Amino acid sequence: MPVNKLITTLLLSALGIWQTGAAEEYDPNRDPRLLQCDTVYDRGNIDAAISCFTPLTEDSSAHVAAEAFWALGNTRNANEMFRQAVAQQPGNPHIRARWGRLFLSTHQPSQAVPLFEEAIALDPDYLHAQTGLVAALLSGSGNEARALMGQLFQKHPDDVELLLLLSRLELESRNVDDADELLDRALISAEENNISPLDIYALKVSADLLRDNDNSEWVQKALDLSPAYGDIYFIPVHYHLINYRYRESVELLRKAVEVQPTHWSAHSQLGINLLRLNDINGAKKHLEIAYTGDPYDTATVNTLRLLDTLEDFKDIETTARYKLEGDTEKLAPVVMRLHKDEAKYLAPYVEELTLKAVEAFSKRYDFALKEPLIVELFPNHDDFAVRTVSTPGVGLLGVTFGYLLAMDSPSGRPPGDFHWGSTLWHELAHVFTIEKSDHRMPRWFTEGVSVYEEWTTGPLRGRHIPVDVLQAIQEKKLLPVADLDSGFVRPTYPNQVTVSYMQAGLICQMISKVWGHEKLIQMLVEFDKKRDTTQAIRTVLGISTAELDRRLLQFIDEELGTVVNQLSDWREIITSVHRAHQSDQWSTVMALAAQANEIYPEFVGRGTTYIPMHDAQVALGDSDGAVETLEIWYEYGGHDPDMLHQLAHRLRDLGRKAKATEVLESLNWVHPNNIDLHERLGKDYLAAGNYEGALREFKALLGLQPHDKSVVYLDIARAYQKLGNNKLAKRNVLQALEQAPFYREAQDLLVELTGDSS
Amino acid sequence: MKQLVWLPAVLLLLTSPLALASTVTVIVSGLGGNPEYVEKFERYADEVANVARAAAESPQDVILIRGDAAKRNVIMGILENLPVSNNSDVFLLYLIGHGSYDGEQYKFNIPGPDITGDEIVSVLENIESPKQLVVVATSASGALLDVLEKPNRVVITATKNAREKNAVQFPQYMIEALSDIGADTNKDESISAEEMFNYADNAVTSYFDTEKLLASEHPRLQGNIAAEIEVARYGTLLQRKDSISPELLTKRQSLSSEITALRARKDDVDEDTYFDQLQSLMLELTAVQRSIDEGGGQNNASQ
Repeated sequence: MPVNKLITTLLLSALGIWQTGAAEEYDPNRDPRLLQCDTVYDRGNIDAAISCFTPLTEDSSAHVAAEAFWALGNTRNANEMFRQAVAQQPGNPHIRARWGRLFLSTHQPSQAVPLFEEAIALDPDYLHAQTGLVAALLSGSGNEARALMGQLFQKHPDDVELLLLLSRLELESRNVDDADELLDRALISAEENNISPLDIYALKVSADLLRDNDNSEWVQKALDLSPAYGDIYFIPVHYHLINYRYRESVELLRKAVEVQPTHWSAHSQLGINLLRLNDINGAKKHLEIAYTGDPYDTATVNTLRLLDTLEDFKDIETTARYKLEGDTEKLAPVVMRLHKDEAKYLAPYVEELTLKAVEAFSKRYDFALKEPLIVELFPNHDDFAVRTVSTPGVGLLGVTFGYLLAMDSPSGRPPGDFHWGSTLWHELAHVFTIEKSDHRMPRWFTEGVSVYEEWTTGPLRGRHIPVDVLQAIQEKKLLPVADLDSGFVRPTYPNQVTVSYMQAGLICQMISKVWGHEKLIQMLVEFDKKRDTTQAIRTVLGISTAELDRRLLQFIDEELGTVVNQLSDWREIITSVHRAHQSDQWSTVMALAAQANEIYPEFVGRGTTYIPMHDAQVALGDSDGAVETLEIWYEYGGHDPDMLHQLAHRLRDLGRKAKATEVLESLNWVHPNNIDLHERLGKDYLAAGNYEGALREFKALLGLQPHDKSVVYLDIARAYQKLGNNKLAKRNVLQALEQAPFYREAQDLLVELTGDSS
Repeated sequence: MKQLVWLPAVLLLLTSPLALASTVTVIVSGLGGNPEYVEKFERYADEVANVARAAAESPQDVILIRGDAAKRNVIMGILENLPVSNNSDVFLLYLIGHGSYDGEQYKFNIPGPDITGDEIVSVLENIESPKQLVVVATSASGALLDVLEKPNRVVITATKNAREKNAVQFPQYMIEALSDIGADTNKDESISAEEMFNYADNAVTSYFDTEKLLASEHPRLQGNIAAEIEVARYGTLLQRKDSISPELLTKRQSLSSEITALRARKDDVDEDTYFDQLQSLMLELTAVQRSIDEGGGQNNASQ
């Protein structure tokens, strides 16, 4: 195993794993002097390997020098020497392919691709470049890579590197037996071709881990061969991570750095995963070690920066109460980690929803939290992105690492861009499914339950299925449930992750509706017993996965058949509605929108026809009808902040104050950083006698730094007075007067509270 | 049709010096360039003048120069001959319109030759008033921030530097502040330069946030006496400005100062003690305020 793996290999994410396919042992034309050094390292003699490679950095061949620098971890010099080597031998495809491998090993697949393509242009059948290209392309969506890999594999069925790449794909899809078969073939081929089997061993360990065998025989085999081969622990970590097993990942990473203390990527990953387990000090320690060894690793640098950012966050502690069936009430500590600039206004809402969720999900999933729950909200999406970097999937709003969840704060995205209350609810549901099954549930199941809970118990009404998902249903793109995880982990078309979320949600909704909610709990129990999807469905529902797939299509037909069966007509109507809306053809808008809403009344998201219909009614003078339309839109879960404000305003004008207040309250879960909202809602609650609600709103308002705080303090004082807490009422009225000494109404209340009318 | 609103004031100036006044306000509305801005700038200037006149001891203390009259020699002539030498005088100057910066020099755009930043600085040098407020509500006005600075002067500009050259939103919100009691955060029925600035500054920030636009202006305030300079009045103080007992006003001022001093000591005092002392002062102030209010006028706090 070359030394450079000690220095530069990074397995950061689902994408990173492919970069390890660029190992030097697959170099088909390696200089014998380099091979000699490789052998020394493979035997675990690192000092001797370094002594072997070092003189080669001054070799007269720029290519040999580049490889030696690379092996020693000096990727900058290696890059420069490759540049010289290519200049010396522009027609040599091997050097370009090797240079591409250097980029691949330093996590720059986009730089690697053109070099592989140039090498292939020089020699169209050059396998080392072709395989490198596959590895680089697998870092992206992977479709092109898979097609290319299929062609190559037909031509070269015994190529070790191709066998490894294929086995990785199978392992990601949990096709462990298929992966094992490929690995066995790779072992034979490696032996025949005198190739180091260490990477194959590491994937054998991965396969064993996926079978829940934590004592794989392949670990010792690898360490016997190369005692400092940290990758034997490091490579399998990927398969734990994509299955949310962070604790187990940390255990493996600790072993990796123990056998190979200079495995900087393992230190980096150890730091990142300790952070996911809320061990901030441990994370810092390993990230700093990783940085010392590899200051160019962006994951290390970004996460260290994130740690700096976390210093601007406040930990706010609270306690959730919950009661399992037949048990007494219990308490669960909760820590809300919020940015100090928004903690004051956001904390009451995060707390309210979190406590509600813990109470609801404990009961619904018969699970008692065993550790403090940590809820992090990031106002800067980039910080959140760093937090989530090794989680597969795209366009995430939140991520759950077990007892710690992180998500975008409502201020992290433009107003109305996402319903943050639903996201929090979704993530909190994950905590229960992940922990109840001891991190063993398949991805589709935990996502499915979270989506189902969003639809049925979350803070936003309705079932929100995007149009492109309906399209995928119509085009019969749904995956069999037994293979649904692949839709999340390695999507084959652009919106497949979203389609898979919705499909999983529909499956869970169907199970709850047809067999009963308790079956979902039983499935979690099965997953905890290490059962896979097929076994869990067979045991709990008594049917095969194929039967479940059949019933799902039937369920979808019952629930969504009307729109799916006339999808193109419906989409055309929607387009026509918006076109008519743009040209103020109000009667056309009315007629077509009514048609569209009849086909699919649940459609309240972007492109909904309710809003044009409302505008048409306003233009035609039917203001009552316009309010009614907005109300229907709202009841189905419409949550555009501007429209909700408008609806609340109109309801207030109509004297329907209670409904107006309800609509305003719903805005808290989509766009809470709005001064007018809290001011209005607080006053509504005060007038309606909901003094606790009023206090929550006024305190949130203070957190948003309103221009005139004295008015808010006075309102808080009034709410406390109504609650009979004169002490706090007096304190707050004095705070109002502190800001505005001449504030007559505050002066009056102070006199009233103190009984001093002199 | 353009009004020569400045004329009566200038005629008075020429025939008999203005009566010595406690506050002299000069408002200049510059060149609009197009009908929209002409209308806006003149309306803003009128509104500032109305607010100033309402509180002024004499209408002659408010000088409004706008329209075609806002020419260089007229503006400079008035500024050079202001009756603000008395130690008790307050001088307020508002420049509303478009400003520009040519890389070396700020220019306030008016009909005919513009007035340069140097000229503004120079003409204001002669004004001896111990409390001065200069508001430059124009694009590029940040260029004047440092050069206009003086110990007895507060400078407010619509932009943070000369590079912010877009037409500014600031004057619109400054006008709003003068007529919105929401700007009066200490509720003393008097809007200070500081309160006006804070209100307008917040509103400008909120405007760019709401419109999802990159902020092209960042208002600035320089000077330490902004809280002491009154720019508008309302409520009892305005309605009964001539009949409130001076003793009550003195008492009110004295208690207000005591409260300010107590607030300054807040971090050094035990929290309960602080609020006990504050309560006692507030109750006293309330009694004085009630005496003032009962003498006539309206309660200010109904919002």
